[in-house]
Amino acid sequence: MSDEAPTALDEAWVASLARARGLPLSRERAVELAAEVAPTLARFRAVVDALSADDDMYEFRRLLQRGTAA
Amino acid sequence: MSDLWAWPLAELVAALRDGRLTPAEVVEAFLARAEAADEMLACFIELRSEQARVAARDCSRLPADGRALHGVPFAHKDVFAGDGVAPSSAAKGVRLRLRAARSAVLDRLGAAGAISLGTLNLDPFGYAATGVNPDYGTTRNPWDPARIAGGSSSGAAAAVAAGAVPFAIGSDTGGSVRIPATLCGVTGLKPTLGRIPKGGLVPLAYSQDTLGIIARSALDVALVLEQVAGYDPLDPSSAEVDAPPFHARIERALDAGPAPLAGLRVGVDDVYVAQHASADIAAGIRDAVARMEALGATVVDVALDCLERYDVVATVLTWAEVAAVHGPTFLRDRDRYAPATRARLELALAADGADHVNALRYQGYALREFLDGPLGSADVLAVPAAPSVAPLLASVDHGSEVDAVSASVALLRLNRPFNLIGVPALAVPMGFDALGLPMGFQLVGRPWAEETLLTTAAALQQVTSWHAARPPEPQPVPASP
Repeated sequence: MSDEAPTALDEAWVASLARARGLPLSRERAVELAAEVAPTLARFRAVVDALSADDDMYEFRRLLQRGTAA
Repeated sequence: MSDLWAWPLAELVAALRDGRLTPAEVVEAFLARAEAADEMLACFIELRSEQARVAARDCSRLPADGRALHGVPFAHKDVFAGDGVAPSSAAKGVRLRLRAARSAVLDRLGAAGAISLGTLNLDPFGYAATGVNPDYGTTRNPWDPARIAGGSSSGAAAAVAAGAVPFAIGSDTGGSVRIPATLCGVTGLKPTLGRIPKGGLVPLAYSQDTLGIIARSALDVALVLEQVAGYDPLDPSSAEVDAPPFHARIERALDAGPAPLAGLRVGVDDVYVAQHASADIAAGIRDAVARMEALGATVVDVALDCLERYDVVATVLTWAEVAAVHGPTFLRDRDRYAPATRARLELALAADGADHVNALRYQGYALREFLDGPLGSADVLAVPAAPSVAPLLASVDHGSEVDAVSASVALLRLNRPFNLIGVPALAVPMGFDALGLPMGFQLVGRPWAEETLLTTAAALQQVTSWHAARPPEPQPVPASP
């Protein structure tokens, strides 16, 4: 689990997201999930911020097939 | 024939081919071990003894020529469609519907003459890394049944380590072949994404699901890989890359002289290893790398701090795809999922469509960065596959869903970066700790460089005996009255 503490906003966001997906969650479970989800998504969004607009999702398969970045 | 299970696979194949052994004799020998191992370790979902005996009799009537695995027993993780039987995915409450009626890899093994002994246990749906399974029993570690086998291909690694089968087929989306192979002291390959066709596999995360092979040695893995690898036009993820005769080529490389790894550059990041592995594991990797150096390899420093970024992206990418696979079923039948699976699926619902696309876009970005960086200056990388030896079951399964997730996350974070970028990775035994528990590491290479990884491991296994060490004998099952 992340050592970053979730905020009240994170908990509310997780609870509302779960409701939107049709998943009933207790407040306790929303707190637990927020502790994991919110920091992970925040880190993820910081990481993918390095992408340029023309980084294409289909580039991966082409690179993999070729086996080289050149 | 009491030690038949410890024979190198090539010797077993040769004895079956020239008639020194019959398929029936070999199947009986492995069935006896499999029954005892399953009793102690819960490694099988279904041990199909009678079906295997019939197959062995049928096999005996066929010529061995052209059937590279004629009469060789194996088993597979219960995530493959086959013979009209839907796989359980080791989850009793929920069964996902598959369009495929057959598995490409099982068909290829059948055509090569291999004989299935049955289906193997796993974490439910393969969505955890401990082998804890409340529905089919938790797979235990053959080296100490009080410890986990690791997962999700828990039964595959435990069965091979216990000598119940010469090899097993698993799947690896975030380390599910390499983690249990490492914790059970056997050799496990996650090949390049697209190397082995995955038709008939119950998906977990489409962009990273990879079939893998677990066996005792790198040479054994090579012999199986050349039978199951290769393009399949029916599989949209299959790559048009030829599968060479891996085993013969590796044997030739090993025969080349006292320095079979001459010219090989082994990349190591001591800081990364120290941050992510116990002192014992770090010392084991240093020792294994020193042995590679003695075999002619050159050690180079690489920076692997990028792997933490890749782990975060792989996590979110997996969330998005697991939610797509399970979402509707999960929302309808949430209580039918095992607690740890339920906990992880609740997390998975957090990723949205843009997150998924951005994670897919990052796959190409990361692969290019990795090929230019660490794999630009090294041919193989030596990295940990588990932070420690196998944990005690009591430490990962004491009723808390949060703790169950944490235990899996700790094991996965060293492995799933390589699923994100699709490169091959091979778990290799590297000795034992003070308690006699197996330690392992993984070799990582460029796309389609399985031969390099397997040659490196085979050279290491030629001068060490860690891969051939035997766990305590499984207790025999009492005869029926």
